[in-house]
Amino acid sequence: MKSKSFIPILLLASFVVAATACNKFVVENVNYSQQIESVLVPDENGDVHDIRHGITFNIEPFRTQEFGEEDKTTQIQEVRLIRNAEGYYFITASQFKNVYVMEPGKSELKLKNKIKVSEERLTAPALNLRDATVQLVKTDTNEILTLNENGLQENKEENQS
Amino acid sequence: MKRLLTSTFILFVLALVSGTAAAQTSDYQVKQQFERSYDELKVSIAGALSVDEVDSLVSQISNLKLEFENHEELLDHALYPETFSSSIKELQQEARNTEHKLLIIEGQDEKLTKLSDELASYRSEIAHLNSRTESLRAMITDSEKSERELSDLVQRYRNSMEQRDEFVLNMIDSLFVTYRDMEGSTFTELKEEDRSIKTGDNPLEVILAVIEENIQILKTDDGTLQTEDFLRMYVVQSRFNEVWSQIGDDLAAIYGGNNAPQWKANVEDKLGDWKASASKNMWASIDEYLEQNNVDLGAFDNNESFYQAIDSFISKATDASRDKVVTNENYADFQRFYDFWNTKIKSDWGKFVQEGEVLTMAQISSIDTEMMTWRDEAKPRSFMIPILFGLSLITIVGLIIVLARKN
Repeated sequence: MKSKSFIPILLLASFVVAATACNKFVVENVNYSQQIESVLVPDENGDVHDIRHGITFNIEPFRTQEFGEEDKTTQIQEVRLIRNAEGYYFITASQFKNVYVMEPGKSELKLKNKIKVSEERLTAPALNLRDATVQLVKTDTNEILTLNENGLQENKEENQS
Repeated sequence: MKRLLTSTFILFVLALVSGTAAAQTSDYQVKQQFERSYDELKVSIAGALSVDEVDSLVSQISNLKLEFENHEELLDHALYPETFSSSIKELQQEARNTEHKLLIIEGQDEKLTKLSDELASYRSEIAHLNSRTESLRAMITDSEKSERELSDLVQRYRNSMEQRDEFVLNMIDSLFVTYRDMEGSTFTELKEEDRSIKTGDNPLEVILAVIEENIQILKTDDGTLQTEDFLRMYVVQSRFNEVWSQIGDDLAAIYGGNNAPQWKANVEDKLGDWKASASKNMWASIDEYLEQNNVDLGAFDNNESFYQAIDSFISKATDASRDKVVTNENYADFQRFYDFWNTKIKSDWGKFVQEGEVLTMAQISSIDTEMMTWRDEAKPRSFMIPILFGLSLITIVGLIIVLARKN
């Protein structure tokens, strides 16, 4: 009688073990890094399409973050994005003060970090990938900031100017 | 001294540092700069007009390679599916292709220049011969000289015409050989260049002038020229037509510029006139010759009707010879036509009859066979043998009767 009551428990346990085994199928050491930044021009709806890397999103939330709800006039001419090895997107543009670190999810980009890179608004930013880390190059001042998803890193290459 | 060395060292370090600082660019900018230079070079290569220009572009490709080879890995990613190396190779290959094409064009240009010189020389020679024939014709028209002197003038006129036609044939053959040997691909390039209408050295103008002069000669002939001359002129016209049909489109496209279709239509219109005049004069002249020699073939004005006329004439004559007792007079009819056929058509005019396809070889061969049949039927037969046979028979019968009576 006792052994009979164990059968459903055993079956349930087997099912849980099998399901867990399926969910644990993971490929590790994936390198998501994008070797060169994408420079994307928003369409009339504010959508940007990176055909080569297969991503489309709207820049309006970034515009709101940077300039506030009230500012409806500032236009973003180009959006620059690059992806690091871990798969985070680093997104910025001219006139931004921040670099947005976005984590991809199901049909979404979730803010991982908002890195303030300038007190003044950026005039000519560019994103490079060096040794699997992202660099923000302020091409107007030749200043280089090294970034990761957690924020600013101490520069490996000191600003030379 | 030590202070001087220290300040020199500081300056050196500063210069080095500022140089390194200036090198801070975005990878995206590097990609864009490369792509811009690549595109500019590609456009320049496609538009290069001389081999020297291509050589200079080849050295610019080498400079581009040197300038960006430190970014090769980056550019391999940026240019995917192309690579830095494949892009440079593509530029080099395009430069080589353009250089090859330009070398051919320069070669063809030399050939065309030579041809233009030849055309100019033909043109002046033909003009000279034209003026000579014209003055001879004027002399013939106004002549009050003796028949012998007049005949001499006519002969000189005809010789002059013959020389002129030979020049025209040589000229058209030179044109044909030059343009036939050109490669199809270079024709496209030549057509794109502006070679249109420089009065005097444009082959289309020379061709039109030659055609018009020929039409003029044919239309103004006052009986001085003979059948042989018309046959030769018909052959020149046929050859001209044949060459034009093969290279006319290309000549018009190269030298006609924007008016190429008009030039083509104009030349073809004149060629049509020339063909009609040459054909009319030639057939009329053959007909006149036959009439003068009492041979009536009926009407004909082209190859087929001429052949049919001869065929019908021989058939009728053969039938007539078969139906009646042939006399020496009947045989003279055959002999007259046989002389015309062998002496004129096959011998004196033979070269032009074949070249101008006045009659084809198959038609000539068929008429030869019919002539043999006619000859067999037209030959006068001898009555001596039947008479002798009859006499012999009577003699034998007589002898038999005499011998029988004796017994």
